[in-house]
Amino acid sequence: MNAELFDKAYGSLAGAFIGKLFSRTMGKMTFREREARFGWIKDIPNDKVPVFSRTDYLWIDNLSCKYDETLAITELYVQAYSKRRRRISIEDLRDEWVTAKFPINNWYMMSNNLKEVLMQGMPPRLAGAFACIIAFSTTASIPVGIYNAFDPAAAYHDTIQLASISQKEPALSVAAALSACVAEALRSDASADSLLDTAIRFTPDKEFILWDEARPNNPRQVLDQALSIAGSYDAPQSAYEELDRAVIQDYAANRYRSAFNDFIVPMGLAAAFLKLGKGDFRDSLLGAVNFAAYSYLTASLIGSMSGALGGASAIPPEWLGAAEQLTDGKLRAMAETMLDVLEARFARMEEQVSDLRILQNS
Amino acid sequence: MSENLLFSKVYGCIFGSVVGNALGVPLEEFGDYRLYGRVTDFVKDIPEMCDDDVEYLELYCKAYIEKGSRISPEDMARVWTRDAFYGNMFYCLQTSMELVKNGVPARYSGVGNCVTGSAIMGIAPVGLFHACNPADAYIDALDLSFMHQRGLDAEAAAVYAACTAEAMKPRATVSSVLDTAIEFSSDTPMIIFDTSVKETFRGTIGKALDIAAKYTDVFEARPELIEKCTQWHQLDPLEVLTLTLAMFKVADGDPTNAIIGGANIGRDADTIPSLAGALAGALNGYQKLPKHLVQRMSEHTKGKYEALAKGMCRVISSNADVLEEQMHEYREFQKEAVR
Repeated sequence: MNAELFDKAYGSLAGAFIGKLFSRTMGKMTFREREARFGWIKDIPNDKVPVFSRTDYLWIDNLSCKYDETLAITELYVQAYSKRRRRISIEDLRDEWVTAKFPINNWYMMSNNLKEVLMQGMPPRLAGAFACIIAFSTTASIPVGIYNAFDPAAAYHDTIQLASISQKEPALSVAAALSACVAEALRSDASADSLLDTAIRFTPDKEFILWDEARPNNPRQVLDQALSIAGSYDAPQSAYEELDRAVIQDYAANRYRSAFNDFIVPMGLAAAFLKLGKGDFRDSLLGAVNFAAYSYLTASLIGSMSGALGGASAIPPEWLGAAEQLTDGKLRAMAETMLDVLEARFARMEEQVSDLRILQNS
Repeated sequence: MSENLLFSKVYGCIFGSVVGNALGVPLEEFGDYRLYGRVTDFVKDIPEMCDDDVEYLELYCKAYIEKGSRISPEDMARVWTRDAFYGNMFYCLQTSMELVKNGVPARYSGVGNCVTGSAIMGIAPVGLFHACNPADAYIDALDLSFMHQRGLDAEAAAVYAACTAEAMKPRATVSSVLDTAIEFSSDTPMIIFDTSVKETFRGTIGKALDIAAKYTDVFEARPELIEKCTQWHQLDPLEVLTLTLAMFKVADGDPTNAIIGGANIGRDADTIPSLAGALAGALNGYQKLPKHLVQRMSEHTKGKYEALAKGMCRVISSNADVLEEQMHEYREFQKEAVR
């Protein structure tokens, strides 16, 4: 087992989960509301934290029965890779979905629907085109980033293909950009700057047609703006006012969608807090969590990116311990499986490169 | 570069496809080989050139060369909608191009299309790009095929691309190429409209290869292959792939016999020799293509496809460098772990 690479893969999977634990109750608040209700959040909220929507109750239920849907979908990717020990197709992933045994009472309606249409024979390549987009499955494709370690372009490419089983644009592009960032973060010489460069490179610079005609509708435009603001400050908290004014207030004024299923803003905010936190797991994550707005997704994005960058060893032990306890050790097990798959990938690659060099030199 | 084995195999694949296609184009309309007997040379003074098989191969190459790296269905769609000769397009392609132009993502614009064998045509460059890595060739060919196809067509294209990638290996053999076909063929029951087909995809190919093993002469193999290995229509992609691999085996990978056998099997007599020629050309290299056919191709044609082969070699070499860097990075991690 490659210990350092394992640490990074484990950090990415655990970081995403920890981000979710932190932010499940605050995604719809502003940082001012968060301050008034909770003060500065510095630890994972326990289940007694007040909740404000039916959705939040569902999430709490999920946690209390040690079951999390994003994690379950992540496991499907890991299983698909593990069985085949090679790049996977969307049909491979479909096979995992239709045979998976889930505690369906805790299964969110979008996933129930997806499993059902796949069981009924809908082509997996088409399934996501009709899906309701929602934040939780965005980080589920992190294993694609891990499989494509050191190759962000391939991670982006594969995630667009694979995550389209459950997502359509613009959610799909966010998932793919995240995978690209994870693939970059797994590099031994990756840095917060190289991660941000990757986020810039792979966040789509295009205007998406949204049902509520919300503006801005260009994720890259938001990302550029958020990074520009982040560049003017030294610490996350000091940037809250300006980020809120520039990214949240103007946007909120003419939108109807919930922060829960918005995919234009989160990558921009995640990149901004990653920059402000200089890639450090605790600082970056708490910056996004305490900003509150959009933290449903931004916290998980940051958790997976900074978790891959610094590795699980850079995650505060008490947070990592809580995540492992809640998931019955699944996060570590998934990372071990993916490392095993990576060994197969690089063994194959070694043979391929050796053959190609023979062809070139003969 | 032009003298190395990589170029020889890449050019062999591309020009093997061109020569095979040129030999077979005039024969396709007959459908039944008994109507034309044995054809071993071009039937016209100037070989008939470039129908859709070769055009699609060119479009794939062009997409790779322009991108300089791995391509997505969207990359393909950009090139196809811009450069494809619409007069060559079968109606399934017309439909997909129209969907793409109307904003349907290319990664699934082929879902629901009628299966016509169009995805397997010209798919060889995906195997060239992933030279020596059949697994990745299989996955990418599957994804790219869904721009305009689905089902059996996409699967046949993916299996063929995997075979091409295997044939590119320096130590590839006829057996290793055919083992790759078996390995990547699905062994679950096929859900197809023709319920008379009882074998799986893998079983169908295996049966054809068993028959092919009885013969060493491509002409003698024809009756039994036609009797036992044809499907509902000559355009059926499983039939096209099956007969291609069978002729490749009977010919023992020899490009001349594979191309002549493919053109003389009847049925889809332009696609089969094109695919068999590409596979045998990738296995053996340009120098082993049938000289009597190559000599009759114009210098212009040779130059055009030589340039395409050089372009593909540049992309393959560039990809090799990228992969080597990644491998180096992985090894560095392992060294750290040992320390």
